Amino acid sequence: MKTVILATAIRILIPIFLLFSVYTLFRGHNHPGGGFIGGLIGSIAFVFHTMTHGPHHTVDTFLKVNLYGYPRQPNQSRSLYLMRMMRVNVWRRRRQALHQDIRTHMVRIEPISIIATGLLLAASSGLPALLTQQPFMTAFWTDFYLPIIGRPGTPILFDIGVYLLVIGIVLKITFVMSEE
Amino acid sequence: MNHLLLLLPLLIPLYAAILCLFFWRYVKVQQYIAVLAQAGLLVSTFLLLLEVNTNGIATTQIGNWPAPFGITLAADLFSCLMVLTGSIVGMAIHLFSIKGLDRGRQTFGYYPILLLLQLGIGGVCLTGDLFNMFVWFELLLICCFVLIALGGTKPQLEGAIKYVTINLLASGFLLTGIGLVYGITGTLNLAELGLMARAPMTHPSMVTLAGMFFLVAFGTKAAIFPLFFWLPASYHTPPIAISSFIAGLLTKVGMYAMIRLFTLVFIQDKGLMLPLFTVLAGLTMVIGVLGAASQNDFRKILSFHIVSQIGYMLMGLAISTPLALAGSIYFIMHNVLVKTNLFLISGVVAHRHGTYALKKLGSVYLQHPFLSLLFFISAFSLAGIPPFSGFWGKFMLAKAGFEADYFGLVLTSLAVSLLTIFSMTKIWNEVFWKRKPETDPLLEVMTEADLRVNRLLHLPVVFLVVFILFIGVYAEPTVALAQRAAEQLLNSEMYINAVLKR
Amino acid sequence: MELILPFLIGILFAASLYLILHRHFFKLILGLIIFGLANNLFVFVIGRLTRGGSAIIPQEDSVATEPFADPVPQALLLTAIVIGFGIQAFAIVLIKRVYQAFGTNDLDDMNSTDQIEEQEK
Repeated sequence: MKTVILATAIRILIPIFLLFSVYTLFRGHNHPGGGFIGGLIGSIAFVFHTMTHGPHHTVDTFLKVNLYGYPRQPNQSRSLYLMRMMRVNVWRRRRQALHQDIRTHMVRIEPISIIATGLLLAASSGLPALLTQQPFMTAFWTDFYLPIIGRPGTPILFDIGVYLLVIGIVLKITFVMSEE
Repeated sequence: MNHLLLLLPLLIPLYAAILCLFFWRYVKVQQYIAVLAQAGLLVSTFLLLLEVNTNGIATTQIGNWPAPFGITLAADLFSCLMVLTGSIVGMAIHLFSIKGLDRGRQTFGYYPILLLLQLGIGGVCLTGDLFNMFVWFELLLICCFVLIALGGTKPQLEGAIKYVTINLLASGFLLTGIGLVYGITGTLNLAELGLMARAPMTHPSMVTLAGMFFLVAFGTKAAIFPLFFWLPASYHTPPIAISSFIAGLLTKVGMYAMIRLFTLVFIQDKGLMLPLFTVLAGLTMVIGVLGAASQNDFRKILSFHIVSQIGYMLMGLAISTPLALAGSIYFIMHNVLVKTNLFLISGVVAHRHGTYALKKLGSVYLQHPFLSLLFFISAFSLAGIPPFSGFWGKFMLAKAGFEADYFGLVLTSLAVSLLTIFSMTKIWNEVFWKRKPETDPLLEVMTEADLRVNRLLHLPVVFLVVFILFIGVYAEPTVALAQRAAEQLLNSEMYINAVLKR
Repeated sequence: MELILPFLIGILFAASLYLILHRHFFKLILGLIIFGLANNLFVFVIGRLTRGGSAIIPQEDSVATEPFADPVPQALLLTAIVIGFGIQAFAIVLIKRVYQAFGTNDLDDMNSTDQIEEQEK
């Protein structure tokens, strides 16, 4: 389904979908919203992208990360090397990719790992309570307010976990169903 | 400490499954994680049983919301025994799968799904909330769907489609029943529902109606008489490691839910329920065992026997005295272990001979006398021959039946036992005793590697036989536990008070 | 409104059971989806309908003002919908695989696992 109109509209719509999904995720505490619906809204962006460009292109665009690295010089200290590597991967990524000494490693993020991360976050949001002898999933709240997020607390971890889980699952389903 | 102990049977499989998902491509790592998690689960469930045995029913309120509003987890002796049995069987299955399941299936997320299935079983048994039970059941069912279809061979897909359709319908009925219960009472907490069921009500018949929905839903999942037909059509299709886990545990979890609900919540109309259960139990036993008698496939005979044995568990619920319920509880434990073991033995035999058809098998006694001994113990346990475990369950049920004047049901159950021996003898004659047709068994030699794999496959079978012998030959502690669990079930005040903290 | 919904639920249940009993794969899956819808609507209606009173406490109050809708059936529904979503996704993929493997869309052709004759692996 490669129509020019959809493909053009998608470029504008994807950031809107993603931003709105994050907004829905964070306002979910005291208003309608939350991790599940936020995740669904966010995954619409990827589903549309897959519909217009095909699953491989979606993976190339969103789920592939280039990591840059170069071999350690013999007289370079280990911590300096690590900091250099971090800087290489964060600062001026595009321009450095053309540099000759620097090698690129492509890392593909699997939807399964997104699902696993989400599950891990959601399941771990209950653990602090167990450490303090309270029942599982007892909420802990901080005392300060942040814009949009409100008061941060352990339930937000659960919501973020659900958000990632939903996105991962929808991505997996979409890829499986559209690959044939 | 209490909170943690009650949650460990859920947290361990969950975290292990998450870890397995992270190591999606490394099957070896997944195997280690899964076996370690199972060992941890075994220890933690045993500790939970000890704790509940000494200090009474353990409860924890998820999120610290007080009882009728939040989700409660509650462990009484019955749920502890179920979770413990489940983890023993899970351990055996994991040990078996490492060598007994083909590599292709193992790479497709077999271990995480098996662990999630284990999580679902723990959840159903430990939850104290009706809707939460539905959610755990769905988790369990989705895992089963995936496991049955895993690999995607033709018979598997066919079995899966039957299993999925019927179980989706059953889940729908369950949801409708839950809606009805909420509409009538306004609560979903099992303890509060039990409290309301014992107080005078305006619409007792409506609760009975809701109970019928639950009977149909859990009856389908537990495969009782008119609703069992999906079971023999699907359980023998997946590879043996998968089908033995599902066959050993799933129907019994449905039975657990039935016993829990029909002793705690749906107790208004005993004049209607008990005769209904009696008829259903008798028919389930007879139809199941007759179905088994006509089959010619190792696994299909065992599948039909699952149906037959569900009848015995229902029989305890039908008689509904402390002794009968203790018999049911003991019988569930015994049957989970024995049935899984028989399936595993059929898997070991099939690993050697490549088929499950009785006609083509033979001479196993000549080649594997030790395996034959293991089969002999399990089969006699299933049939209920005295020193072994099946006898004690049937003895308790029969004794309770005679005391409560259920002569017809008891006689049926004894006749069914006889037919069970017939089926087991048929397997013994055809698979172990008969000479294998068209070959000379002594000339068949396995390669060294195959022989080693075959020896490793014996390990889980031996592991289970140890437990079968323990609850059979030294039955005293297990019987005592089952009796105390049954008393807890019938004196629901203990459960209600423990959950609602009155 | 409260009168229409029970009839609608009845019709949905009837339609879904009719479709499930059909021999065609596609109608089976449609039937299962409609069956899930009917169940969800049933749970929703049995929690009693309240129009225009969401169960959200206003910013300035500490309790919700009457009349407000019962939030529990809505929460149950949301969970049931999510579960249904997962199962239906699985069922659709399964049916697609079955169609590819068997090359038929007639459920009556799938009776090999019920037969007593031993089958080759």
